[in-house]
Amino acid sequence: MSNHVQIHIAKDFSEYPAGRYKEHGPNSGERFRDEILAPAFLNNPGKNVHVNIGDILGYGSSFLEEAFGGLIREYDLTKEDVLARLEIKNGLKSDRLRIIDFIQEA
Amino acid sequence: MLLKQTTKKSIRRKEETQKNQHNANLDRRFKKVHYHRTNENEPAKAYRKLIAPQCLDLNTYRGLLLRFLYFIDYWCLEKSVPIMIDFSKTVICESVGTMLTMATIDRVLHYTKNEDLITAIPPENVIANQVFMQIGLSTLLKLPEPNVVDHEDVVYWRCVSGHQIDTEHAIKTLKAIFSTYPFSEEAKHALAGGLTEAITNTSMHAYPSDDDKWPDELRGMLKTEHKYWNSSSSRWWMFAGVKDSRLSVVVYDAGIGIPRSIRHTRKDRKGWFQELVKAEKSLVSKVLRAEQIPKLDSYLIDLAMNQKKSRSNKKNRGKGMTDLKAFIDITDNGHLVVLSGSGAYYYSSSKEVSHTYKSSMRGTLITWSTTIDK
Repeated sequence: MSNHVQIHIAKDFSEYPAGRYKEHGPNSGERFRDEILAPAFLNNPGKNVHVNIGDILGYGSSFLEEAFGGLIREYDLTKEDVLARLEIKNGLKSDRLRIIDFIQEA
Repeated sequence: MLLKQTTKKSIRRKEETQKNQHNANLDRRFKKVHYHRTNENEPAKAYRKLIAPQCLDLNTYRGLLLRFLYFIDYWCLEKSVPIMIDFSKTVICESVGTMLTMATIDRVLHYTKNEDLITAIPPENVIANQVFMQIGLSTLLKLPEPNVVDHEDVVYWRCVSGHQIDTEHAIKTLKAIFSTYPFSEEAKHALAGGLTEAITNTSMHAYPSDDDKWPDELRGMLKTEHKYWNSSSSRWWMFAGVKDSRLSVVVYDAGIGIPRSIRHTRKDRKGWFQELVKAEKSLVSKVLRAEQIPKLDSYLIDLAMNQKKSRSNKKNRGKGMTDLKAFIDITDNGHLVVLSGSGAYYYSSSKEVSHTYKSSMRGTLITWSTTIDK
């Protein structure tokens, strides 16, 4: 039994993630958060969540902020818990840092 | 000294008169009625003939191009009169001007769902004709297409359009360019991220829906524009091309524009504006004293680009404008240009300036450009 849950955005969600809210498009940060990211945290208490952000050409801030910052705003999760359990894999260092910033600023 | 001033004044007056005369001639030409018979058995249909400018160039001939595009809107949307655009004398197709022309025609045809509303005479110039085919304008206007597109300035032109935040085609277009020209991973991601965010902005801010709570003074104006907006017209257009070893990527939407979007926030508008005044008190008071409201356009674009605050007024929003600059911060010779209303904002590694034009354009146009190492 693995002690972590894996999410690969390009494979499990979309190669073209974009936008903030569901009404603005099919690959929004809100949909990714509600359908994939939040369930990974809520349904697997105590487990780490590894999110692979690689294989995608460029993330917009709207998507990342709504997905990761929104996790704190919209769900009963604390910044400390999320930051302790979340591990961002691959992708650019600047994108990994942006995600951490969005969680801390949420 | 006095003589010098008088001479300058008289030259300016003469230029002004010539310009007004030119505009009047242009208006007369656009208003002339022609008749066209597609079939001998059918009665001839009346249409307006629009002579397209020789240069579809927004940078150098902004006023002329915007006036031409205005008449496409005016006849097709306001008057529902068919038009025939004569591109035969068009010889220069600058990327932004050509894309703006295509977007206007595409928008009108999409809105009216009447393919016969706009017909055209193709350019006689070989390169211009190839540009029309390469970007899809020939197909849109059902023009005869050249057999080959082989001119080196044209081959790498790409133009796509979309609705809502569907970035697949836009990102694939960038990937095609990146497969031919070398860019660092950071630069590729920064440009794609900026492009994604620009497209996101079109969907979130450019086309406000009817239920958006706009201030009273704007509601009437927006209602007029809403006449020509439907679910399929909230579109964006993207152009990417390489010319003279310079990459240009352009995104355009025909929405309300950044100045109007940012000036009229939905909530706490007064507080927001006071905050702006506090931030840039001297400039704002100067602009407001002059009562030159259009000047605010460039000022407001500048603010939008430099403040983490959006029309929504939410703390977590308004971060996307930083994404637009990221590519320029990474590349050595990059330039970002944002045009909206009568305002313009230029950003490069060495400078950041705003400018106000006399003529106002519909929507928002964002351009990234940089030199490419061969």
